Amino acid sequence: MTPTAVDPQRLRRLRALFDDCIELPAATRRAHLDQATRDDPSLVAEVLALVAAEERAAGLEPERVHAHIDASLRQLLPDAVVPGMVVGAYTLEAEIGSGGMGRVFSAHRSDPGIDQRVAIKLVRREVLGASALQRFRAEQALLARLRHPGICQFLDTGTLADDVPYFVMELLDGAEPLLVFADRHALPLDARIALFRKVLAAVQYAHQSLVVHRDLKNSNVLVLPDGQPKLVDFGIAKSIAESVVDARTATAERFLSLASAAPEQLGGGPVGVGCDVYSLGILLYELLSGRPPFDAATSSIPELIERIVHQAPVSMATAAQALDDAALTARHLSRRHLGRSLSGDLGDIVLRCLRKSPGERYPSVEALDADLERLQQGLPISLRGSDRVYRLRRFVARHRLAVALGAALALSLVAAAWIVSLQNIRIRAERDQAEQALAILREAFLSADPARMGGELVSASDLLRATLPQLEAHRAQQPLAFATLAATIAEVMLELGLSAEADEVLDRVVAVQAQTPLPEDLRARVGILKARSLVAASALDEADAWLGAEPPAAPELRTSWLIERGRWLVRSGRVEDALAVLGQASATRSESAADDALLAAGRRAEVDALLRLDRLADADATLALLERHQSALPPLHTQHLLTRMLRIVILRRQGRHDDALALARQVQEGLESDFGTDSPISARGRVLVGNLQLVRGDARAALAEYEAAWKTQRSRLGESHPETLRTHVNRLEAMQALAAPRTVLDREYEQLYRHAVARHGAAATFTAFVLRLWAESLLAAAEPQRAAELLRSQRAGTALSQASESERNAHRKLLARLP
Amino acid sequence: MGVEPAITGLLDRWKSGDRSVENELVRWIYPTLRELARSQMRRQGQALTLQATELANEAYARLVQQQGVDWKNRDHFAAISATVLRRVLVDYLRERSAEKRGAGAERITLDGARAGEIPGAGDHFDWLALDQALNDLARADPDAARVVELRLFSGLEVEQIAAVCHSSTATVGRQWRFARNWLAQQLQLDTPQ
Repeated sequence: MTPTAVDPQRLRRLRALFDDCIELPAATRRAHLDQATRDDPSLVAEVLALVAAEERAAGLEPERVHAHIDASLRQLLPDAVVPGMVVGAYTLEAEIGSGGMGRVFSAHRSDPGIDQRVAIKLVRREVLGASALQRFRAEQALLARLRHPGICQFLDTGTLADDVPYFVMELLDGAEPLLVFADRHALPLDARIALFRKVLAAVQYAHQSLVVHRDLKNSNVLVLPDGQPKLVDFGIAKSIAESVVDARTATAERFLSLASAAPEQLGGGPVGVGCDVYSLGILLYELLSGRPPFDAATSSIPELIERIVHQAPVSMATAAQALDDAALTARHLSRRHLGRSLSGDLGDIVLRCLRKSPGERYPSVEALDADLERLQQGLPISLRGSDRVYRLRRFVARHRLAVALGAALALSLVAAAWIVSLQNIRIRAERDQAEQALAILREAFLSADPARMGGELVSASDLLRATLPQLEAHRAQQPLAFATLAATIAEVMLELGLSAEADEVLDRVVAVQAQTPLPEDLRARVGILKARSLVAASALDEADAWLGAEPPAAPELRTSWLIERGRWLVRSGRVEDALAVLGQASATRSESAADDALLAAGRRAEVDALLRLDRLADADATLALLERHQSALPPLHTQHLLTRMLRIVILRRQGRHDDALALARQVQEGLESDFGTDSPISARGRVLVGNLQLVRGDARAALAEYEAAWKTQRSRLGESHPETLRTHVNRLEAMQALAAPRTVLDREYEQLYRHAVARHGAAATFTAFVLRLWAESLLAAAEPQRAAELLRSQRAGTALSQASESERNAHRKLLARLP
Repeated sequence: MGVEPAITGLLDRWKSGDRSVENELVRWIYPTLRELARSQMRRQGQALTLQATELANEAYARLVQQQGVDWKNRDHFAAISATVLRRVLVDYLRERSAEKRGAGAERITLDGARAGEIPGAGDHFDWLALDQALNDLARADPDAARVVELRLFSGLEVEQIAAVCHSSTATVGRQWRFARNWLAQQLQLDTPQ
């Protein structure tokens, strides 16, 4: 039976020696073994016995081996190519490399008169099929085209007697892989970058020659002792034109190296320049940080694929933390300054190479090289502008616009289906036009794609606005399509907080309605949207008229209506009624999906109402309910941000100011990245942060936030929009805390008063409230006389005539403190 | 039922190289394959030929039918069932030798298997010793051991084995070339001169 315990290590060695010997000519085996087993001569006999058994078996009882096994065995016969063999004008010396398809030998001219050494690549016999042959010839043809100091030079080509093709290349004597070279020479970071730029020059040249390498990795970038890198192994390279068309040939992909493959190579997507940029990023990452971003050694294949396709790599600074002191010293790095050395611009450059989508990476190796050059010269890199585009793209891809565009398309299809159902020739003509309008809309969205606008910053609202004129042109011809799409755009604008613009768009739809009857649901939807924009503008009576007394029948619309009615009731001061209505709205959606925007909107309105009633505990509980419902959403989902804005208010009311401020900062960052810095929603986030800073006594920081928010609101919503006015008030509060000069404050109050009148009228609660604040500020500045004059003025009298009871009381109380 | 997604998920993971789920997969397939193997042996009486391909096909059909599992790829199923078949066989022989108290190796051959390529392996074969030697080999060279398992206990061809192992035919060939000779040496099979 089985002999005593087998030593795995010895067994592995046995196998390696056996494999060697099988490949060697019989005469040389003994010498090889003797040399390789000096420490354990007992191996010699064992290996030779195995080899002998193998050779007997190979020639033994062929009839026992089925035909198909025979065929497969023939494939496995050791390659006949061995050192000493003559290939064309050359004699093979030793195998110096082997890849998936080919083996590379060093060789010298057989003619002793010519002293020339070369490398010869032969295709492996066992993979020698039609497709392998084709690929081998393709590599040869590509390589013959390339002539660059950074690319291993092609010299000659030919075939062996049995038609096995080979080609002759420059021999890279003493060359070692890039990472090995850099570490062995203990190159500091700047020398590494300089070396890497030489690699880039070669790749750039290949790209200009319309060749993508597709397998750029450490072992394919060899550096000569003089520091000149050379690209080798264009085995799966392709001409650029070809690779775009022929992206899904899976055969070649089998040979690529997983850890440095771009996500689109794994996914079978189109492979182009971006894939080389990605692999260069992987290489640069490891060259600088000492670690691969995705380590094949420490994860299983499915894990690795998952990480390559979905996960962002950790920062280089973090990766480099794992280096030992010797490795750090070799890079002239200190542990304490890792962050400074490897993050910032350098980190951004590498991460941009590693973006998952090719369109988000550097568009060319040239652009990458240009950034590295600027970095070396201490100049600002190109990334800033493009980074904004990246963030916007992320927004477009992940959030509202994608959803909105999807919704717009879906709705147009509904509209089209409705028209088709009427089966009327005139209407059918309109259907064709509707489809045209749809095409126009799609075109408008696509033409505003930031990636196509050459780095120009495009905000979401710009995008929406850009579609309107295109749509407008079709209003007369296709009123129904126009109304459907315009209503959708208005809805998205409202979600982006652009209530003033949404209102204008809705008015255009209403104008259509005057001439062409719109379907019932569309009419109801426009009414609800109109009410939403009017409530946002504090035009409550008008909003009431648009809503009407009864909700529409369609379930989605009914919920929307209930929420809008609830918001209206809150603003009208009927908060208890609002809670009842909003409760109905939530009840219709309580079983819905985690990303249900309607349920979330309803719950948030409920929380808002509860806060107005000072029912803090109930508000807390209701918000927690929503948070639980949304816990299944991905962590960066926009809905979380909107929900957290309320959580901030609650934390503040609970006196947890530090928690509130921390959360507010986080939310603010998310809002800016999702909605853009200049969106009214981001402005709301800034106001929240400002409020908390003011509570903590940091008026200067608060003022900076208010100013930024105010600027956005004035340009996006208008000077006298209720949100703009509220921020104006906050701003003045901060200015007072900072003891701004009296003249400046008076001028500001005058301005605020005018805008209040423009929005709410001379006789209104808010107008009275502004005058009272002004008087309080005068009193605080020890000018009681002027405060008294202001409160007794004609302006104040008019304002109070229509003001709420509580505002009148406040005025009375203040007057009592004045002379 | 909850069975299907679990087993499909396991197979997907296993297919893409995650060996950690193998034991669980084997547990799913084992009962079916054992039952089929036993009925095959009962039908044949003394001299047993286990038809690996046929067993795998039958088990495949049964599992698809009973559990509605979508195996997606017969080769992968055949590959995992090779592991199972090896265990079925070894368990069976252990039981039998326990019953008969050292009745010695059963005359069991594997149809469609390549035991014949192991030098000196004739029609009958000490499967338990082979199993032990394979375990030893697996400790040093798990990939080579896996190739042997597939060559012996599945009907898969070299190309198919290379594909399910995420390897190449050349590598599989080299692994098999060494392993068959080493195993012969371990089992001290009479090598015909």
